[in-house]
Amino acid sequence: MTRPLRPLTTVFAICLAFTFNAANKASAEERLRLTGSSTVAPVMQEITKMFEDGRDVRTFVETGGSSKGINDLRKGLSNVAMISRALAESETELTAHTIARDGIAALAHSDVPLDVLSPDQLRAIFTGTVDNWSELGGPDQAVVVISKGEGSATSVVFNTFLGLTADKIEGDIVAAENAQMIKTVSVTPGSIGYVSIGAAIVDIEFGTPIKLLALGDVPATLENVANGSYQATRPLSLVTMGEMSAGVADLIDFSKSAAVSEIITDLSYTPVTQ
Amino acid sequence: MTNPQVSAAPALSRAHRPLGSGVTFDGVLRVALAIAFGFACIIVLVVAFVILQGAAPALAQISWARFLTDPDWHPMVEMYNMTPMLVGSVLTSIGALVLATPVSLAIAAACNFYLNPLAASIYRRILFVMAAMPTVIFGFWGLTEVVPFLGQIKAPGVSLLAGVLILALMIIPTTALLIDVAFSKLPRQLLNGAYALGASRAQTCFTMACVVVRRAIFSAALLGLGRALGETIVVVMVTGNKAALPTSIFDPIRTLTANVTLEIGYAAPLHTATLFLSILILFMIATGLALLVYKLNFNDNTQVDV
Amino acid sequence: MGYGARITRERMSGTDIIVYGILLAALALVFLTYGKIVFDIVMKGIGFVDWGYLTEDPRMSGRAGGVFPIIVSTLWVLSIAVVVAVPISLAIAIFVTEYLSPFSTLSRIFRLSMLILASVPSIAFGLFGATFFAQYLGFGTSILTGGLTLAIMVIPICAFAFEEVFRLLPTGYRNGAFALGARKARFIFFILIPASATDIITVVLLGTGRALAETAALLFTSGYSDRMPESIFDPGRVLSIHIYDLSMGIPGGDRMASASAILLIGLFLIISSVGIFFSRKAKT
Repeated sequence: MTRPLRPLTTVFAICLAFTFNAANKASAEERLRLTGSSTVAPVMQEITKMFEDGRDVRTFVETGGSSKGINDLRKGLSNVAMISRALAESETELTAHTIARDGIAALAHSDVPLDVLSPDQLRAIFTGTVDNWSELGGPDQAVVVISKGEGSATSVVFNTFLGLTADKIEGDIVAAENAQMIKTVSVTPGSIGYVSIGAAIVDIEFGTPIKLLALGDVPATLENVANGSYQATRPLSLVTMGEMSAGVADLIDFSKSAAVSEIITDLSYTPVTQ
Repeated sequence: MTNPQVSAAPALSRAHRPLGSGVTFDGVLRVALAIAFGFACIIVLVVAFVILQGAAPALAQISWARFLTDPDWHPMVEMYNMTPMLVGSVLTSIGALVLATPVSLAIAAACNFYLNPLAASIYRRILFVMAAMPTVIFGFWGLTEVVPFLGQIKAPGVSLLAGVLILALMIIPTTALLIDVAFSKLPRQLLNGAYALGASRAQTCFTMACVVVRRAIFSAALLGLGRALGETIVVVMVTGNKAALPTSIFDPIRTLTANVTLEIGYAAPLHTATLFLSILILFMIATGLALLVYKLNFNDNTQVDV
Repeated sequence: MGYGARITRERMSGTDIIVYGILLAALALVFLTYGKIVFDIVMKGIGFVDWGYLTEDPRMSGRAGGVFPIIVSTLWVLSIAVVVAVPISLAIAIFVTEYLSPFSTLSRIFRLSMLILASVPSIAFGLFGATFFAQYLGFGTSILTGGLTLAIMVIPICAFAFEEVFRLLPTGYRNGAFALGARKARFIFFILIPASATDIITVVLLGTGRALAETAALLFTSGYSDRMPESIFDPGRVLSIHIYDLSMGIPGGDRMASASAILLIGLFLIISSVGIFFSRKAKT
């Protein structure tokens, strides 16, 4: 080939070498695939890193939502599903192994003057019966209701707790993910949404202008989730189908063990071992 | 373009030598290239087919009318009105187009007719970088900087307007560069002629050049529209994603693309099929746009492409 | 290139000055906005970009630690996209320019199908890749799936640009080669490609830049796992997905998202300045 082609062929050769180098490394050890809830995925990402230490196993944690996890598991695309809600009635053939609990709390912009809302008040807000903070004793400011994508585990848990179905929720804004929910609440005065307590606490520590509202008279804190006094909680679980392989059983035992409770606490969830 | 450094030809080129039973390298190459060509032409059909197949259950089980007449979009309780998302997609992308095209035209005109060559080339370089900026960066910036600002004007901030603004920012580099290329390809005789007739720069640019490159401007705008219509990440972050018809530009809206990103992870099978259907709708709109661009640029054999 | 400006430097009429003012305002507005975007991101994230950030594994879902495995995954996905897309689009462009008449039906089909492919929303490619490569072909959520999906996205861009490059080859080259008795194959490999080499590289880098920026198509294809990939069948998180996840899904991830955005911009600048270097070399 002639000289002007050399840079092109070099770039191409490097890419090709890269690809083949990657394609050839077939690994012998057991491979576990976990897919599902975007709330549980970061937890399992850290747990599996610890789990692999000294074991001949490789794990891959993929997110996409609780229902995707269940679908993948049923189709045999994964070994373990991660869900951040209880199993639905249509999913009873599966087994859930709860590794942690998470509270879901109403989240408001810091300028909202109320700190406590009862379930009835929440219901009124999220169904659109109340659309001004003055109706709840606050200043004359419009209520901006932020909900999460239909079918998301957080919204299913929250709606179920309030005894509402998805079509009753009158959201002004819909957020896709936890962090987007928090960000949207923090930039929207007078807004109220709901989010995993663990996720919100991290951002509150960073000084984001948001606050968690107490439910009834129970403040939304990790302690209250742990001691059971906070009611709106959900299990974070690993789900398996049929007989577990040795590797999967080992991972599930490990994820429930005291060894990982520090990881779970660090990510602001409540380990089941407590 | 460099001179090709053609190596001295060997006595008989390898291409002439038969590879056995009358097959020449030339012939093999021709077939190989034809296969690649055929492959390229069917990719689009394969993509369309896969998406259609994904959408098939929805088309089979839910009547067409329901996507327009159901009271709301609540797939969990089997309400499948897609009109708000369709309207959202169309409004955001057309809004972005209306905002971006004049600005892009201004930028391209300035780079070609007003700025000195160095400044113009620096400006082009900036546009080039911004054109390749991951859209998640625009969305991220929009949510933290533009949305709070709009929220001060009228709550809640995340809105049709925010989507339009950020999408316009996102497509300006692409459309501006495309129009710029068209301007820079104008034959010099044409410009010299205009100047020789005593036309001012503004006259040369806006009454002569713009008219000559009108097709390029129009197709640049259409390509920009296509990008805005297909954008996912930005709209998820800044438009508020409320599946309802907006009554003002400060209302939140949801686009078809955002709908998919929001719900696909949680969707039950039939719900997933409706999401594939929303992508199918976008696919058809994109095909329509592509046909328009094609008609503008290629179909007329006698038209000299400028 | 600023030709109009050069030729009429002394002749600015009254309208010209007003128009110039309006155009300058538009230029400045866009420039300042883009400047602000980049400035905001750099100010937020620059404090986290250091050697450790480039070489360490992410910890706490990316809230701490570095992005080394993510850079590796990104480069792998890009490599696959380039390895697949460049030869195919080169072949298509050569076939169209050298074997077909520009007005033949096949040329029309080519243009139309490439135009449609180029205007399909990237999320459609994402769903296509997740269905076709991951499920039908069984590659799963992996670097390979992501790379192939990107390749399909990049093919129309590259094929169009290559076609343009080849059409710009002076007719003298073509006539000369065939007058000397060269066959098509010889002309293609010894004249067409070498003579257009620098432009080909620019196009390849352009396509790479486009692939680097893509998020929506990779959301469902290349994976979320922030582990170091061992083979192309492993899932791997790319930089744009990392930014998306940090800013959308991970509370308190903003700062690190900005840091990764700086890296992504840096990577793109490196790629595009290599492109500029080659096109400069081509012009001298």
